[in-house]
Amino acid sequence: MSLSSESGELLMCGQNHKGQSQEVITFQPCPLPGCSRVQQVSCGWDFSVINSDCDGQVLVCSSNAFGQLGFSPGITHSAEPFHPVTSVAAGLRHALASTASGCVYQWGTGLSSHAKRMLSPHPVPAHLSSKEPCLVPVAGSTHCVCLTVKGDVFLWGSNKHDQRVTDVHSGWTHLVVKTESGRVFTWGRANYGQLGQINQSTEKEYDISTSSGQSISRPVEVKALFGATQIACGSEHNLAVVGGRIVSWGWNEHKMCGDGSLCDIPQPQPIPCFRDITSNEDSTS
Amino acid sequence: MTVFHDEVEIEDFEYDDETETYYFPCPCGDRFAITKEDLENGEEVATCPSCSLIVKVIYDKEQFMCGEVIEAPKTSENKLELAQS
Repeated sequence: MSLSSESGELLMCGQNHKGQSQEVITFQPCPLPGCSRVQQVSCGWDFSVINSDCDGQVLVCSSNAFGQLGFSPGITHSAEPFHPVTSVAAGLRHALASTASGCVYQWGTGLSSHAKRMLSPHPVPAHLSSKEPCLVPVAGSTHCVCLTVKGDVFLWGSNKHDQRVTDVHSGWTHLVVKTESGRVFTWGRANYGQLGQINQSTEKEYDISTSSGQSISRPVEVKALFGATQIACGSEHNLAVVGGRIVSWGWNEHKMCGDGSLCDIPQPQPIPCFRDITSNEDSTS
Repeated sequence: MTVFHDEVEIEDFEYDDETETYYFPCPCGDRFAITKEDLENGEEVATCPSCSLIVKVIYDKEQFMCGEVIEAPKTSENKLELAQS
């Protein structure tokens, strides 16, 4: 796991058998070579992508088994500079970076076999099977990227959407975004309730139903999350602070939604033990 | 009817030589696992030791089928053993 502090310091903890971080269970500072501040850090399954403020350099570390570090196989640790980037995002075994000029680069073969199956007999685009950064064909100015572990990519920049997006969060297979006006939209995989949307038959908007479950490919607003001040996504569940209350929804087999049960929560519900506690709106996230 | 969490190609699994097992990340933080032996026997379900989720493994079964031939015991040797006992 990784965190970046307000001062730009990088803190990491967790397993390190592939060089992801120090082998400790508490967050420890992780000095970076030649750079003083971290702008953003994103973690995949067993690798990390760090966007520093050193001329927009991107640092990567840990497993390179699927080319997710963006270098030739055989290199497991590197701090090579990349291109000046504005935003980075890590999927399960792939990563993306956007530049100030609006270009998006992708590397890592994590999506390659899935793409091959879906696109057959057409060839897989280069950016989905490259072990080195490859330009992604995308139109318009893009200054931020976010993606799910399974590969749904959300790109946004100035004037790209009718609703100006201010926050994007992703689980492994779903996305949660908030607009400037406070509206919250979700889309992606839905079968564990991770989208927090109403499932009434008259309002059903599932357009894909596979053996892996149902999913929604277009953003749908979750009115119960309007005005959420904080949102966080786990792999298939979510937490949010709405009106000073902490709510949760989604997959709950390991009690991660905090309601004491093992039942998936299909719509945002206040976590019972926090019902009488309001969040401190002045604290930093 | 079994409900799979996902379908994953064998190429996306990571193989561990020591345990002779293929692994793929599970959303709970543990890993789906299926042994080489299971694959050789035509199994296609990888399970997670920490939760109820299972994934279907997509692979070419013919490539994994065990090619060993078990030799039948030689009957002449058996008769010799009986004679000596």
